[in-house]
Amino acid sequence: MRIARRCLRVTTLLVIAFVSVLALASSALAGSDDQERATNLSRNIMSPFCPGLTLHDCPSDASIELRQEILTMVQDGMSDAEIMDRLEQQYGPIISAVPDDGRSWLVWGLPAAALLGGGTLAYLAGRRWTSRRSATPEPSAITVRERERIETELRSIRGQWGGGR
Amino acid sequence: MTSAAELGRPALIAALAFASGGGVLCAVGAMRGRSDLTRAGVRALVATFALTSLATAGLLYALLTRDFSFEYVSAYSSRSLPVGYTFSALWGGMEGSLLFWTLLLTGFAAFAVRGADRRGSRLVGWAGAVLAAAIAFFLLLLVIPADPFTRLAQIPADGRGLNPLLQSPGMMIHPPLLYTGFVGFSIPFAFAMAALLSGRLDEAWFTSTRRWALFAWSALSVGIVLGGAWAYTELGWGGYWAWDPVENASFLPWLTATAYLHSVVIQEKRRMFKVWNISLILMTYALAIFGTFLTRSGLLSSIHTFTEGPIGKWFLPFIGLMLIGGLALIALRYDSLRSDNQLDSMLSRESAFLANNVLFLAAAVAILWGTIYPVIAELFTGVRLSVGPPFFNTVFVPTGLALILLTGLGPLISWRRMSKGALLRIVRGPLIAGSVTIFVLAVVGVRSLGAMVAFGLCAFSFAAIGAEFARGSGVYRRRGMGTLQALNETVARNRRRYGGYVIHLGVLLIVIGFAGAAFNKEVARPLQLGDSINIGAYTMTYANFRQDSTPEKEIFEAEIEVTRGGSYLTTLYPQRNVHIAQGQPQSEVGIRTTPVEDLYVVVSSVDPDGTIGFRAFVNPLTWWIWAGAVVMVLGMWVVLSGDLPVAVPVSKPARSFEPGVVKA
Repeated sequence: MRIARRCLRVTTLLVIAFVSVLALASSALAGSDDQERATNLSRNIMSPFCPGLTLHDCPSDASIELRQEILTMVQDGMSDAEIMDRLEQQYGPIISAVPDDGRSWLVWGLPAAALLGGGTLAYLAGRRWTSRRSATPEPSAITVRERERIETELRSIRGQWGGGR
Repeated sequence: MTSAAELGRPALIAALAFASGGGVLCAVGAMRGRSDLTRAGVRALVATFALTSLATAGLLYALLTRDFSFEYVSAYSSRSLPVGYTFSALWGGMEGSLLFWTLLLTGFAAFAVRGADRRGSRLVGWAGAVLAAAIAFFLLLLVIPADPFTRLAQIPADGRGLNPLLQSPGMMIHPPLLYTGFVGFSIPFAFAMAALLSGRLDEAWFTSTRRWALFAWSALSVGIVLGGAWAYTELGWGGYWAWDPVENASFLPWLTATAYLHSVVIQEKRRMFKVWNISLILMTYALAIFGTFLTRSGLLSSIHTFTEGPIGKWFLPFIGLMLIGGLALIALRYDSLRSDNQLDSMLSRESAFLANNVLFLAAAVAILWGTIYPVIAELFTGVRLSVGPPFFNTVFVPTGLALILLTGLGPLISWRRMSKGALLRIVRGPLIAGSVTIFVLAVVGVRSLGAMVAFGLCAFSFAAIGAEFARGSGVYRRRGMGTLQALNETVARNRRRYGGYVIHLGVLLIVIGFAGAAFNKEVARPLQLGDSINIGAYTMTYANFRQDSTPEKEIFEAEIEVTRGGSYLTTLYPQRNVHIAQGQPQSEVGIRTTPVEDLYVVVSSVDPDGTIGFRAFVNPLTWWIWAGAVVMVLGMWVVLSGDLPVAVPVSKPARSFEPGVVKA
């Protein structure tokens, strides 16, 4: 049992290490290509031509032209921030798929707070519940329905066996 | 011109009167303990349903007979609209969709309340009153700001026609299913509120509405997937989910309802989480109404908001009243809602359910926040911003993956408590399955971390659920049954549990489909007749085109020959059509779908010389999303076709608004 547990732990650690190395390697390789950078940018831009879709997903002709413009800007050596600035000047801040106006911490903060806060609350509540658990054991953890089902099934099994004998 | 549709408006006004009267009768009946009054109220609700059906039949008649003297008919149909899609016109516009919503609400309410009355439920009075209030609100909308029977002074020769995007078979099923889901949650909501109002806070409110909750959740789930399938085949952008505000509006109640369906199991087994469950059903219903508000208020610009109207301001007070009333009632009853039991250990099935709820709720909060942030930001700064897919993917994907882990882990953990050693023993198999999957994927050259984790977690959960089935059916196999027969017996003996597992298997398949998107490829460029283009292993040649026209649309169809490794595979026929009434171009996608990958081609533009703007995608594993949905439906059928819930013995009411204890 102990050996099995150790094997399990080692396997898990190895897998985690392996995946991390791969992730680092792939992130280091990503973005080296101009086309890839332009594509990634288009995923972070809301299309001015299709409401609700990113520039990357928008199927209209105008969006194909804008994607081409972005590729040209990338090839001209502009940084991602410079490209976003130029597009925001042209189309307004609505074009950025995630707000980048200095209040973006607000957008990301609440979901993070919800997850951390909810998790912490649940953990604390759980701990409090377990620590003040009543000493008297409960009669049963099964419901009326379950008891009925068990009884019916027991009866039917008894019936089957009774018939077979 | 006189027609059967003349009856529509009077029927709606009469329905409003019956709903209001029925609500008062139900409430007074519940307060005074007079079952005769309650029963009269229930009958009034049935009459409301009959009258709303009459009004709906009137509007359908006007649509089918092309009676363009009605503003609605002229705005959403035309002479050339096929009869099948004329039914879609019922929910193609704001007034019609509100009427359809009200039809479902009155029908469900009449059915549920009558059924509960026949079973002798003590909650029926208050539940009827709550439902009647909601019905009266929607009827009021139909009578005042959103009258579907408004006449035009000048009758046009033809109507403007239905939005071409709505003219697809998917759109005949997707909206009714979503509405069925949204409206279906009214029933558990009404019975939960009835439990609070009457002080009968035992398990009766959710056992008697369990099927409704499951039914509504199932309809919503299938509706959402069908919406995705519609987007995939009709919108031509290569994807199925864009985190559009209206998609989010349908997903939000789904998240809280899914949390509810899980957490209610704990109340049933352990009589815990009572406040929480009532809060969840309140949230679900509020979010369902909020979804309609988002769609119908025109607050957010979105491809889905076909119908923007002046009714937004009516919804806010309704949602506000519902939330404040619900929360006030929960606060009032808080003491009676305390758990009968305590958590035994942090390592128990209860804790797993708790973690599941935290994740679902955190996801709902994050998605709600991202959806309404642009509106809030504009309110304060006056500048319109966007919150798009990068935000939603970042916040939802990790939560979703954690939920997939719980899908496998949860059923392995026993109720009340479990030792770490026992957990490790039972989790070993699934863990090995997950690790081996990740390892193999890495070795074959997969480099997407997200996809690897997703596949690994799916393998883990598949193994865990598979082991559950094996353990369950082992008993019967040892008795000499064949594997299939044993499995069948296992499922039949505990439909809710194993049906739930089947639904989980469906979800895992859907996740596999989602994860496949990490390997999507695409190519886009103009093609002249005879040109070829490569994507993945495929070579596509623009071989020919065909032009045609119908009274409805000008059709342009390209013939794309597909070869792989030099040998002919198939021919796809993507179309670019212009709908004459709206002058709106629309793409019909060409798809070759297989379990391995979809080849998806779109004509995005057409030049007079036949040169086409061409876009092609290779979408691996997308097929599994639809397959997973089918498996989910199978699971839903297994659960819903199970035994009717046995009524739990009614406990004494805590403090009641019923005879003798009414506070003046």
